[in-house]
Amino acid sequence: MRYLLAGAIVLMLLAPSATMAAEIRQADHVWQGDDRLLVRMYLDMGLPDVVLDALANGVGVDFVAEARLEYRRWLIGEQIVTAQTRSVRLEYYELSRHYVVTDHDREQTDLAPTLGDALELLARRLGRMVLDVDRNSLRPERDYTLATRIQVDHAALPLPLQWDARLRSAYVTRLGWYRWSLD
Amino acid sequence: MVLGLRRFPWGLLGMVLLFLLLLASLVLMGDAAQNSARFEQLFLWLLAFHGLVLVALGTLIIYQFSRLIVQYRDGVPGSRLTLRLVAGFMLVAVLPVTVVYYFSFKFLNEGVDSWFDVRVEGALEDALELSRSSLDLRVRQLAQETQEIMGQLQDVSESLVPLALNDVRAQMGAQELTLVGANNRIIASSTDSPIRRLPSPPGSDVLLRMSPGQPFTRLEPQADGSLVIRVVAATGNRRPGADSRILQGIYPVDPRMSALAVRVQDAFVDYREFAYLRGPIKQGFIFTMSLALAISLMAALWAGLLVARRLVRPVTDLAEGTRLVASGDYSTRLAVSRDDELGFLVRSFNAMTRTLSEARQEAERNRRLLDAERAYLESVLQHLRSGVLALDGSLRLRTANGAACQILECDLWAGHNRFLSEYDGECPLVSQFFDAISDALTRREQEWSREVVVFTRTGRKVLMTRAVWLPNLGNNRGLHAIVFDDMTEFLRAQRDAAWGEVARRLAHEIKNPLTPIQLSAERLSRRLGKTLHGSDREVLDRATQTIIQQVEAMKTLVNAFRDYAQAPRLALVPLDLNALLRDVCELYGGVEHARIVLDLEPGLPAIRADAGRLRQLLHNLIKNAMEAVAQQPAGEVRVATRALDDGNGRRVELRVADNGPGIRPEFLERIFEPYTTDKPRGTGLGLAVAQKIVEEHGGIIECHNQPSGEASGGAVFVIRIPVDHGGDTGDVGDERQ
Repeated sequence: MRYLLAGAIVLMLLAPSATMAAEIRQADHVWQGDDRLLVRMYLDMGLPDVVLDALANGVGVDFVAEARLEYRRWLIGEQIVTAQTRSVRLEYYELSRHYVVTDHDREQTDLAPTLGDALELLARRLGRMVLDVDRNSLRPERDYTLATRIQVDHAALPLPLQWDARLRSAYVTRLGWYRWSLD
Repeated sequence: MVLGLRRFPWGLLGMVLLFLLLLASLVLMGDAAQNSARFEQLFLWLLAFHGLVLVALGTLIIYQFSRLIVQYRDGVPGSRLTLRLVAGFMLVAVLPVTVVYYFSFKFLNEGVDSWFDVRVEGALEDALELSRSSLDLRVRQLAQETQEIMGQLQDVSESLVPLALNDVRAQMGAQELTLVGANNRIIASSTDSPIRRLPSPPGSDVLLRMSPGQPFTRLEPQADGSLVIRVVAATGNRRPGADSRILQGIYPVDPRMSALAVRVQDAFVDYREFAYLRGPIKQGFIFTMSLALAISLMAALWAGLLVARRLVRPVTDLAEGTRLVASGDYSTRLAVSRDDELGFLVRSFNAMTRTLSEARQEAERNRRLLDAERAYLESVLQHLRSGVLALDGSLRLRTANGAACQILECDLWAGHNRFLSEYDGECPLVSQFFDAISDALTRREQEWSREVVVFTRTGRKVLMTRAVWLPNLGNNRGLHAIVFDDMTEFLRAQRDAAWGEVARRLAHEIKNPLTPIQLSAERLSRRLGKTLHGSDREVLDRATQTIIQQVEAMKTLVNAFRDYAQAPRLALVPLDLNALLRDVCELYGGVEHARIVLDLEPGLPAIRADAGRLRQLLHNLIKNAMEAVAQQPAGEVRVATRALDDGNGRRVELRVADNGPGIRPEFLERIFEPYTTDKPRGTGLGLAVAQKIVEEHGGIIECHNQPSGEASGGAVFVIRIPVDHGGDTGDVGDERQ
C-alpha cells in the first residue's frame, strides 16, 4: 500500500510536465484606449482522449483562460500588475445532439453541431480577454510581460474525476504560460 | 540504584497527537470528498500529509522493530515478551483489517457495479430517443410550416411584411419571427414579448450550414431550462445580387414536453455520467479506504509497539532488577509507577531486595567478624612456637601453622587439603609423625597426648604431641586439632643443666680430696720407702704410684668437667677464622696417618670471637676427626670455610669433615651430650665443650654423617658463627656463661 501511495505522489509530482493537446499558436495585445488592454490568443484547440471520453459521457468540462500583466523583480520574481480570467464550459447536449459552449462571464451560450466547431467556438471565447490597466501608470524602466495560459478547471469536474485527474497524468490539462513583451 | 524511574510519556503524547491529527485530516478529507472546491484546495495537502504520516509511521515502526530485534538477539530482558506482545497486537490488528479490507474491496467493486443496470440504461436511452423523436417531429413540422410561410412572404412588399409577420407569428405561436434580407439586413421582426430582447439575424454559423430548399433547424436550450426550436428558411434564389430573404423563426417547445424531455435528458446524462464515473468512484473509494486502513493499521502497529513497551517495561525492570540481584547488587530498587498487579509485584520485589540487602549486610558483618577472628587465630597460630595441624575426618590436612612446617621441615601449606599419608618421600618427618599418631587419629580418640620421636639427618626430634577430636567441626565431618612442640632443645638444655651441675659438684666434691690423697700417697712412699726393702718396697712403690697416677687422671677429669661447667670470661675481638685455622692445622702437620685438606674461602669476613676458646674448639674438632680416621688407610680431614646468608643474617660456616666410619646413629642424637663417646679412652666431654663454645659465640653446631653415596663418607661437623658487624670489642663472658 505504501508503495502505491508513494507511486501516486511521484506521479503527481511528475504531472506538471504533461500538457493537454492544445497549443497557443500566437498571442498579441491591443490597447483599447489607455485603460484597457485586449489580449488575444490564437489557439489550436485539442483535448486529451480522457477529456473527450468524459465529454462523450455527459461530463461538462470547464476551461479557464488566464492572462496577466507582470514584470520581474530581482530576487523576488514575477510581480503581477493585473490579471484576468475567463471561464468557458463545454458540454454535449443530448436532446439536440449539439455541443454547448457557455461563456460564464458573458452569460452567452453557443451551440456547435460538431466537436471541431465547438473547439473553434471555445478557442474564440477563451482567446479574448481584456485587462484593466492604466497605461500611464506603467513605468518605462520596467520590462512588462504579458502571460496567458489555459487549463481545464479541475475543481469543476465531478469529484470522482478529480481523484482520477489528480492521480492520472492523462487528465493534466494545463498549458504552460505563454509570454511576450508588452513593448 | 533505582530502575524504571517515571519518564515523561513522549510516545503516548505523540500517539495522542498523531491520532488527533489523523482524525482532523480524515474529517477534512471527508469534507473534501463532498465539496469539489474544498477537494481542489486540500487534496494535495491531505495526500502529502497522509503520505508523510505513512512514511513517518513506517520509519518509526521499522526503527522500533529493528531495535526490538537487536534487543532480542542481544538477550535484553523483556525483549522476548515485547516481541510476543507486538506479534500478538499485529495479529489482532492485521487480521481484522485484512478481512475488513477484503470484504470492503469486494463490496465496493460489486456494490458499485450493482448500481448500474443494462435495462435501466436501455430504458433511459429509449426515453431519450422518444423525446428526441417527438421533438424532431415538432422540428420537422415547424420547418415545413416556416418554409411555407417563407413562400408566402416572398412576394409580400416590405411595407406589409411586419403585419404579415405578426399575423403569422400569432397564428403559429412562435416566439419570434424575423425576416432578413440581403446582407443580413433585418426587414421585419415580430416577437411575442417586446421586452424580451432585440431580434438578431441568423449567425454566420447558421447561414453557412443552410442549404437551398432545406430550412435550418436547431433545438436550443434556454437559460431557464426551457427549449426553443430555431428554424431558418430561405428563398430558393440566394444568388448574389438577387433579392433573397431569410425567415428565422424561434418557436417555444410546449413547456410540459420541454420539461419532460429535459428531465429525461438529465436523467440519461446523469446515469451515463454516473456509469462513466464508476471506475473513478471505485478507485476513489478504494484509495481512501486503503489510505485510511493503511494509516490505521500502521498507527495500530505503532501504538501496539508503544503499549507493549509500556506494558513490558515493569517486567523488564523486574527482570533487570532480578539480574542485578542475582549478580549480587542488592541495592536495586524499582520505581513504583502503577497501582495494579504489576505495581504490587514491584513493591514486593523492592521489599524482597531490601530484606536481602539487610541480610547480606548482616552476613557481611558476620563474615568480617569471622575473617577477623580467623586472621587473629591464624596470627596467633603463626606466632605460636608450637606446631598446630588441623586434619579433617578423612585425615586431610586443612590447616598448618608456620611452626608445624618448621618443626616437620616441610612446606605443609603447599599441600593443603592433602592426606598426611601422601607426604611420604618428600617430607620424611611428616610421614614419620603421621605413622606415629595415625592409630590415635584413626580411632578418633577424643583427647590424647604422646611423645613422638622422629629422626632427621642431624639427629632426632622429640615432639610432645597433644590432640583432640572435634566431631562437629569441619562441615560436620569432624576435625582433629593436633598441637605439638619440639622438645629436643628443651630436653637437651635440661640435660646440659644437669651435666653442668654434675660437673660443678664433681669439681667441688671430688677435686678437693684428691690433693690430700696424692700428698698422702707421696708421704707414704717417702716414709715407708726407707723402711721397706725388696718386694715390699716394690709393692709400696707400685701402689703409691698407682694412687698418684689415678689421682692425676681424676684431676684431669675433674678439670675437664670444670672447664665444661664453668666457662672462662670471653674476650670477643674481630677474628680471622681462616688465619686461626691455618695456625691450628699446622700443629697437625706431622701426623702420619692422616692429612688435613684446607678449603678456605678467600676474603672470609671476620667474626667476633674469643681466640683462645675458638682455638680450643678447633682443636677439639680436628683432634676428634683425626682420631676418627686413625684406622683409615688414607685418612683425610677436610676443613672448609665459606660465608653465607641463610636468612638469619650473614654467617661464617666452618665444616670439618672426615672420611672415617662416621658416627653410629644411636650416638648421633646425643653426640653433644657430656660423657657421650664411643672411644675407649675418651672423657666424652670434647664435643660437649665444643658445642658450649659455639653457643657462647652465638652460633650453632650440627653433626651428621655424610651420605654413603658421597666419596669421602664419614662425619661432618658444621659450625655457623655470626659475622662481625664492627661492634665494640670487649669482655662478654657474663652474658655467654
